[in-house]
Amino acid sequence: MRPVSYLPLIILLLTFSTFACLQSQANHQPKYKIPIVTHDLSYIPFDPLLDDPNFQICDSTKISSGRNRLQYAAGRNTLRSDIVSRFSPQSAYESFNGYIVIRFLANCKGQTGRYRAASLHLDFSPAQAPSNLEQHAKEVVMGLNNWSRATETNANAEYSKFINLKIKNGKIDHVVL
Amino acid sequence: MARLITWCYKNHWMTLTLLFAPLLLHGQVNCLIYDAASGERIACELSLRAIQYRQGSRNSQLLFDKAIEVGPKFAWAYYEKSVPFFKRGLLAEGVSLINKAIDLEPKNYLYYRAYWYFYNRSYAHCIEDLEELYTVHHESFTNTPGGEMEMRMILAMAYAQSGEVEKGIEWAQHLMDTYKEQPHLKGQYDHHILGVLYYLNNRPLMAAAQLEKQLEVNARLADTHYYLGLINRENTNSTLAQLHFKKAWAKLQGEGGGHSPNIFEGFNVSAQDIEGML
Repeated sequence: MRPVSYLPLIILLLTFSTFACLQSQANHQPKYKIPIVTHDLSYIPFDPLLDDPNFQICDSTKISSGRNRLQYAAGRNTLRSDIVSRFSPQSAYESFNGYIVIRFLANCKGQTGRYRAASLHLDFSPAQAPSNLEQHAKEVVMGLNNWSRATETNANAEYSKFINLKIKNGKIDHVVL
Repeated sequence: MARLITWCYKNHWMTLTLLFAPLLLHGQVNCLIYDAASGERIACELSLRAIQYRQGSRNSQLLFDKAIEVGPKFAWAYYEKSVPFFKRGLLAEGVSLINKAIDLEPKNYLYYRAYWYFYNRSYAHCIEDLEELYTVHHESFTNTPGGEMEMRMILAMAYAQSGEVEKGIEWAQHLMDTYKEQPHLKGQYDHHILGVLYYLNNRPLMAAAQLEKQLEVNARLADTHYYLGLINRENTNSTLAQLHFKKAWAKLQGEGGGHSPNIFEGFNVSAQDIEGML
């Protein structure tokens, strides 16, 4: 009787296991990445590709960030309705369900600037919004200029503010303030 | 001293809250439980130094980064570092940090991620986290980060917002049952929330009973009067309904410390809601 050679079988198994291991590594997406920020978290650094160089911050270490420190003069409900009425849903946006978060600063001269937008899935992980949705949402918020320092007596106070647009099927489902 | 006693008597809820707050809120850690030379001990001490600085400041962040570097298994550093990110709308960065804390100690940190999911109306993720907290990890009592209520009330509201009101009521009742033996733990808004859920579930009598109980516990909520107004209006008692709507309006303007807490996100009554009823 001819002895059975197990060599081809072993090679086959090793090939499969190596492939499975590589596949597993490729699929593994870590759920966390430690963000390293070397400035005050309320501050948004200047980006020459995005920002107006004339917009200056007086003190990047003393920016207030409370949710209601910088308010919309006409109130929260008007802020919500102003955003919704200026937002133009498009068919290209319909595939998107998640968030567009817009952050910006108000400086000591009462000007706003350094607008940033981020797209997120519903679990807050980074997403890729379709077409120009992110840019459009940012421009909607940039168009608002009715801000007031309702809770601050210091006229030179500076603020960071964010507005979170919850998007459902490409339309604003809710403005989270 | 007599003035202080009188103030405490008049503001007994505030006094109780101040007394129990240290027990109910997630407080600081005790570094002595870790071995002296361990990474966790050093990370813990660095984290305690970090919270001496303003939350979100450069110094605070740098110390947390160092803590995570020397003690990567020390969950509290990830949690504390995540807080200012969430508060500034940096949600991807915040969740990345809290995900790590949850991987290390799910029972201690699931509530925090769930809170932010609830606040941003990501109800399915909120429910997923809190179901895990209570059914897998058998958590007995965890308050919201601000100490307003136990997280099962958040779970109840998340279910109601997702269209599963009955399930929300079950969770709210599950919590209320625990107060029979521990009445001191009852929250400032619990009867109100259960009342609203009954109202949404077309059980107006049970809703009214809970809302009336809420007025005994804390009568400052504009929302409670608004829902009592709705129930009385549907009962064709328009006089009583108008009284409650007027009261709701006054509370929303701040009468006697009146307000509508942000924690009800999704259930909050607005000025327009009340104006439409007056």
